[in-house]
Amino acid sequence: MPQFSLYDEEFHPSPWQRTWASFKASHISMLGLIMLALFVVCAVFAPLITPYDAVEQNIDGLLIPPSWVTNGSISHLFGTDALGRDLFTRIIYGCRITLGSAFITVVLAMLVGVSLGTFAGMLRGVRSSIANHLLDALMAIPTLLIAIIIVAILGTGLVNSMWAITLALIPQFVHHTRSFVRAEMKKEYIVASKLDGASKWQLFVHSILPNMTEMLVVQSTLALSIAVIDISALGFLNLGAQSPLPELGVILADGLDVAYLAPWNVAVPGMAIFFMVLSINIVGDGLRSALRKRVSH
Amino acid sequence: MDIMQVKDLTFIHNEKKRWLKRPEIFQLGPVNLNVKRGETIAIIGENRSGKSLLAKLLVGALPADAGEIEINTHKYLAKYQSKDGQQKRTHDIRMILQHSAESMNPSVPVGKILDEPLRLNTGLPQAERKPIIEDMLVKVGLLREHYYFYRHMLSDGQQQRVALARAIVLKPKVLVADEPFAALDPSIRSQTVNLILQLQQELGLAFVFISHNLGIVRHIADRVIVMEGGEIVEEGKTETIFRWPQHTRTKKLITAYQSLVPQNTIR
Amino acid sequence: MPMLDIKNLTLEMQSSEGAIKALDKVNLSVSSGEIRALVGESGSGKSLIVSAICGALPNQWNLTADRMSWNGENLLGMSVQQRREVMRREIAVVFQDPQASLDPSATLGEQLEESIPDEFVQGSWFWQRAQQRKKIAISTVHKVGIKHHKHYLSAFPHQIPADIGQKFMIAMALVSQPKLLIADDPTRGMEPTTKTQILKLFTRLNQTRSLSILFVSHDLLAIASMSHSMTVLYAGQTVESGKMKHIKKRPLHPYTKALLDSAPSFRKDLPPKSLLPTLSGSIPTLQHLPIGCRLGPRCPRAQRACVQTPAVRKIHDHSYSCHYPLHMEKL
Repeated sequence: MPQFSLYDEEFHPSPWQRTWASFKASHISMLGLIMLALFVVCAVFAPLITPYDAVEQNIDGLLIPPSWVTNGSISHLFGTDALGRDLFTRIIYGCRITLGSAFITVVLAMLVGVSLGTFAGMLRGVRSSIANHLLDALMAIPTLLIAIIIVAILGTGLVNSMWAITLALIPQFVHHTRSFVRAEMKKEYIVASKLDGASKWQLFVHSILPNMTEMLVVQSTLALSIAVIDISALGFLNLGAQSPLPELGVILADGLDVAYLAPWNVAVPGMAIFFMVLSINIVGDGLRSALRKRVSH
Repeated sequence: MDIMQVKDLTFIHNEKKRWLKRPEIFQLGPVNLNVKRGETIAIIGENRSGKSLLAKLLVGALPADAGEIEINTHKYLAKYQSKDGQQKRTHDIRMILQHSAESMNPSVPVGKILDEPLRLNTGLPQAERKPIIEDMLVKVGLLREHYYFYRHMLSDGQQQRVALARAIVLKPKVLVADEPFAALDPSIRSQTVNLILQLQQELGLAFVFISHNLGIVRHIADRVIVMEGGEIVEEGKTETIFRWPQHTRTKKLITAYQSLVPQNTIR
Repeated sequence: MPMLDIKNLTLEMQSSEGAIKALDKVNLSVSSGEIRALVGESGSGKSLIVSAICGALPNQWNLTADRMSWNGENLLGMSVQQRREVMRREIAVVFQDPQASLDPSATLGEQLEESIPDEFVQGSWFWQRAQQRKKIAISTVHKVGIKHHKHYLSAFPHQIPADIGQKFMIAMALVSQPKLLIADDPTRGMEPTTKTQILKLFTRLNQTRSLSILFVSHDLLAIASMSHSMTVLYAGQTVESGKMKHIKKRPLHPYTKALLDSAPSFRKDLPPKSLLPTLSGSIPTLQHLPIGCRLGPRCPRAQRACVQTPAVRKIHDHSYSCHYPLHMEKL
C-alpha cells in the first residue's frame, strides 16, 4: 500500500480488512474461530500429535477409562475402546478424516456448482430456466437422503460417500450462484463494463467474481457444516466409511455396543462432532453478520 | 463540421403478446440528429418521453431496431445482434449514467475501474496504462492516491468524477450523460459543470446531456432538443427555444421554468 | 411571537474519535403564516433538524437547546404523550419520495381515510362515520388539485405518477389541519412542470389557510420563487438567516453567495458557457469537521480569526455569522 499524503491519521481499510475487523469485534465468533483452528491443526498435524497408532489393537488394555476418572491413566487420555485402541488417537485421526473429506467435498461441489450456476445465470433461454427449476426442486430433499440413495447405487465406502455428498450439495451452490449472477447482470456497472467491450468471460472474472466471494464464503461454511454432519451420519449408519477406518461416525457406532459399560466411547466422539459443527456454524454466522455490516455501512 | 450524424434511429419496444393482455408499444423515432464538434446539446422533456432511451441507443447500451450512426466518419448500423456486430461500434462515444454510485463496482478499486476500458481496447501493457490513469485522475480533479480507493471511500461528487474519468479515458469525441447533475448538491454541481466545460475546451468534446434543470441547460447548452412521446418535437438554438418556444410541450416547460426565475415570482 | 422557535440547538454524538457536533448552535424560527426555507446541502444537518422537531431522533444523539418551543410551550419539557399530540395535530411532515412514504399494499383512499383524526368524524353509527371519512377524503383531495378523485383514490401507490403522489402526500398531511407543514425536499428529482405545480400548491395553501411552511431543500430556484424568509445551514451551523428579498439582493455570508451563484438563472449578465463561480473543496464529513467557522477551509475570505466560531450578528432582522461578511472590505 502506498504512503498516503492526505489525512495521515485516517486509515482506509480494504473491504476484507473491514470484514475482519468487524468479525474480530464479536467475541463469540472469535471463540468459534479458535475452536475451528484447533480442529484444523488436529486434522493437518495428526500423525505428529498422536501417541499411538489408530488401528493397533491392544488386547491387554480393553475399555480403560479416560484420564479424568480415578481408574484411568494418563497414557490413554480418552481411554480405550472395546478393541483396545487408544481413543485419543482415533479422535484426532477422526477429525482429520471427517473434516478433511468434508472440506474436499465442499470444494468440489463449489467448483462444479459455481460453474453451472454461472452458465445458467449469464446465458438466457427457456432451456436453462427449466434445468434450474429442476435443480431447485432437488433442494427440497434433505441432503442425507440424497446421499443415502446415491450410496445405495454406488456402494459403501468413504470415497463413495464423498461422491454422494458432493452431488447432494451441488444444487444449493447452483441455485445461489445463479440468482446472484442474474441479479448482478442487471446492475449498472456491468452495463458500463459491457460498453467498454468486455466479453462475458471477462465480465465474470473482473466484475462479478470480486462481488461473489462473500456469497461463496457464506455458502461454503453452510455446506461445510452439512457435509460434516452427513459424512459422520453415513459413517454411523455404516454406509460410508467402514470400520476400522477411524471416522468420527464410525467411532460413534463402534462405541454404541459398549455404551453402558464404557460411556466415554460414545460421549467423546459425540462431543467431537458436536464441537466441530458448532464451531463451523459460529464462524459462518459471524462471517455472515460481518459481511452484512460491510454492505450496509 | 459534424462529428456525429444520426439517421432514422428507431426503437420499437414491443412486449410479446401475453395471455389476455395487449402488447404495449412504445416507439422511439425515427430520430435524426447532427452534432458538431465541441457542441453541447441538451435533451429536455417530460418523464417517459424517451430521453434516457435515446441516450442508451446512441451509445449502444441497447440495440436499436433501425438506423445508422456515423461518428467521425466511421459509419455503422445502430442495430446489432451478435458480439462482432458490437465490435464494429466505436469508442468515440461514451456515456455517464445518472447514479454515479451504481455505475461503480463496490469491490473494485478506482484504479482497476479506470484500467478496464484501457485494458480491453488498447494494446498497452500494464506499465504504460498506470501513468495514463493517474493523469486522468488529476485531470478530473482527484488525487493520484485515489487509484487505490474503493467506492465507499468517495463522496458522491468524487464518484461522479470517477464516472467522468472512465468515460473520457478513451478520448472519445462525444460524451452522453443521463441527468449527470440531478443528484448533486449545488456547490458540487457548479464544480462538475466547470470541469465539463474545461474538458470540452481541452479535448474538443461534444456533450449531449439530459437534464431537468433548465437553468443549467440555458447556461451551457448550445442547442436544445425537446422530446415527447418518443419523438423530437422541437429543436433549435438555446436562446431561440427559451424565448420563442413553438410546440405546446416546449411552451409548458419554458413557462414552468420562467415562473421560477426571479423577476416573475409567484407571490 | 414565532410559532416554532429554536435557539442554539446542539446535537452531539459520542464516537470513537470524541464528541461529534452534528448541529452546532442552530437557530431557526417560523412565524405564523410565513414560508421559511431551510437551505443546506447534504451533510448540513437539515434532515436531523426535521427529526429533532418531530422527536424522532435516534438514541445516540444528545440534544441540548437554549430554547425549543412550539407556540410558547417547551418541546423538550413535554412528556412523550404531549409531544405526540403536538406532532399529530399541529405539525405535519411531507417527505421526499412519495412512493417510499406510501404503503404499497393499500389503496390511496384507504390510507387517506385511515389518517383522518377521529375528532373530525362524527356520527353514532359506524357507517355514518365511514361515509364522513370518505367525504373528508374527497374534499381534501380536491383541495390539493387532484381532479379525478374516484380514479386515484382507488389506485395503488405504484400506479400513480409522481406529481399526483406528492400532491397526495400533501393531502395526507393536511387532513389533520396542521398549523405547520414541514416539507423535506419534496421536489427533488422532479421535472419542471411538476415542480411548479407543487410549489404553486404550497403558495396557495399558505395564502388561503395561513398555513406556515418550513421548506427544506437545496434547490435555490424553487426556494427563491416562493419563500418569505430563509435560513442557510452549512455543515451544522446557521450561517445566515433573514427575509428572502434582502438575502437575494445582498447576501452577507460567502456561502450564501456561493449558493446563489450556483444557479445561473439568478444572474442576467453571465455569458453562456462560462465557468460558474464556485467554492473550492468539498463538504466536510462528520469525522473531519473544522473548528470554528466550518466554512473556513473553503472560504476565499478566511483569515486567522475564523478558527473562532463567529457570533450571530443582526442587521434589521437579517442575521449572519461571519467575521468578514461581504459588506465589509476584505482585509
